Amino acid sequence: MRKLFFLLKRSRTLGVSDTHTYDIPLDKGSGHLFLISLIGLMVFLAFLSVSAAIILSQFSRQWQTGLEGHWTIELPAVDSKGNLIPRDKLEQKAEKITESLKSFKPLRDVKILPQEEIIKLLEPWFQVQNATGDALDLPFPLLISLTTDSAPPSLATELQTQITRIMPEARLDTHEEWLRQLLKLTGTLHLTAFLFTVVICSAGVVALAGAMQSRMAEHKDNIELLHLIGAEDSYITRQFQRHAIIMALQGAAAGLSAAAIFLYGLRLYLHGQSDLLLPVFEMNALFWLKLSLIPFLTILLCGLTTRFTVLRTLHRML
Amino acid sequence: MIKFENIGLRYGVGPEVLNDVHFTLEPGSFHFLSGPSGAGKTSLMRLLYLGIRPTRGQISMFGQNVNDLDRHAMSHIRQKIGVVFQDFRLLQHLSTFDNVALPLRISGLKEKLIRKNVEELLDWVGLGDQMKRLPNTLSGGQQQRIAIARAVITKPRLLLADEPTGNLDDEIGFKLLGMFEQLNKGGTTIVIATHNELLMEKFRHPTLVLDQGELHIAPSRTGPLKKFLDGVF
Ligand SMILES: Nc1ncnc2c1ncn2[C@@H]1O[C@H](COP(=O)(O)OP(=O)(O)O)[C@@H](O)[C@H]1O
Ligand SMILES: [Mg+2]
Repeated sequence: MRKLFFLLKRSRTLGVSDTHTYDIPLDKGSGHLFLISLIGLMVFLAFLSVSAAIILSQFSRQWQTGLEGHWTIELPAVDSKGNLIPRDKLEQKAEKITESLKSFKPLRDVKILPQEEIIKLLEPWFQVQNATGDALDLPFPLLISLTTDSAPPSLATELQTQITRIMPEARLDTHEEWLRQLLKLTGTLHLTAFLFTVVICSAGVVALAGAMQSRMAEHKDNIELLHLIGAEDSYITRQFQRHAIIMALQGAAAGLSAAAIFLYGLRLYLHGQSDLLLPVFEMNALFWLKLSLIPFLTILLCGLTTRFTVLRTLHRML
Repeated sequence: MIKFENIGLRYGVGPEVLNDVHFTLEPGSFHFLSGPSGAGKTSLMRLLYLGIRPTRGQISMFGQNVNDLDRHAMSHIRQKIGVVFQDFRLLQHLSTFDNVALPLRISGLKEKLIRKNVEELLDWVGLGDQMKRLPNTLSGGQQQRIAIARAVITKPRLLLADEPTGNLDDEIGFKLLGMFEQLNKGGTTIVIATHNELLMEKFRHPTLVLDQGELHIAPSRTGPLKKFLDGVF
């Protein structure tokens, strides 16, 4: 960081003139704004994909903790032959199962979910306000919810055997399948975000390298002169590097602001859409700390790209 | 200190511009380089400041064979050479001060010292009041003086000047030659390309004469013009 400040500092204020920032007039060329916007866009997109990845892990963690240890037993309202099972019989079975589960130590909070609650859970899918089971006249299953503190791996199978003995159609759902799917999905999305970022950065690097090469061609005479009066490649490279870093800083600032506005907007929007079942993502200090690596890495990447490009081109000169 | 052996030079597929050039420059020597326009004076200068490589032959400078130099060693040697280019090659976006300060900045001198040295020298060449001006707002003669100041600011061990008095009137030309002589007394080896007869008459130094790509060495002159000028100045 100190080195960065050193690079930016106009260390030559002691000189009589104000014209001297670069020996090569890099700051007066055209195509500046284009490069800065490009870097800005790069930062913005990288920002979005990285924050998407972070938010995604937040979501999946929230879903996971929400689901882990919360099991349900589903008693379907129809038997295996497709005949409707009367409601009171279903309730009897449920009572019996609940009773039999008392002997299982790691279980807590075994309770039959009231029908209103089930309907409420289903409401978003049915788009019906104030619906009741009778009104809908649908064969709603009965659900028993239970909580496990630290379930041994064998518990689920033991439970299933026990339940089957009472009611063969009843099924224990540990949400394992759902969790596996969720992890697979977030893993894929993570990978996509990562690849997306890599593509963006590659495009930025290629564009910056090209721009630096054309800028070197533009100032070929001046570069040659610097060589002739004894400048080393590193001396010339430093000027290009400083130029690139300043542009990267400007671009990063622009991209950062745009991304911050966008993210806050998105969060506000999601807040208003509470029925989407999405947890609200947290934009805490850690979130911003992770994201603040992006401008930093962008500047580093721009500096290194420029350094590499300029040095390589200089080596082809006398 | 500098040795050219069987140097041949051609640009691309063109004819040989220099042909079997052979000479040695002793440390502290002072030579004129003369010859008609197109004789190859500028080309020989380019070889001397490592701006181009010869097509054939060996050049050794400061005890090193130029062909063997890596990039670092090359810039190291160039830092010991001051060059006044025929077309000045000033950086147009830099002020007079910054143009002259450039070699010192490259060598990494402290800004305070740079300021002192540059101001002193610019005063000396009569540009003390033009320090902030950009080159293209100055006259040809003034630009030439910037180019000269830039070449001598580091007190180089070898000074090469390609027609440095071309745009100057004789009086200022003589004054500058006086400065070159002063540098020479301090140990700087000097080669000045010129076809200014007056200069060569007034300042007696051996002359490298280029003609059709061949180099001859003529001893310092003592003609009637020299005697006449000695009477005038
Ligand atoms: N860069 C170049 N490319 C091709 N030919 C050149 C180049 N520079 C000089 N020449 C040719 O080399 C010859 C010598 O030129 P130069 O060294 O400039 O002579 P002088 O400085 O004595 O006038 C001329 O015929 C000129 O046309
Ligand atoms: Mg010439």
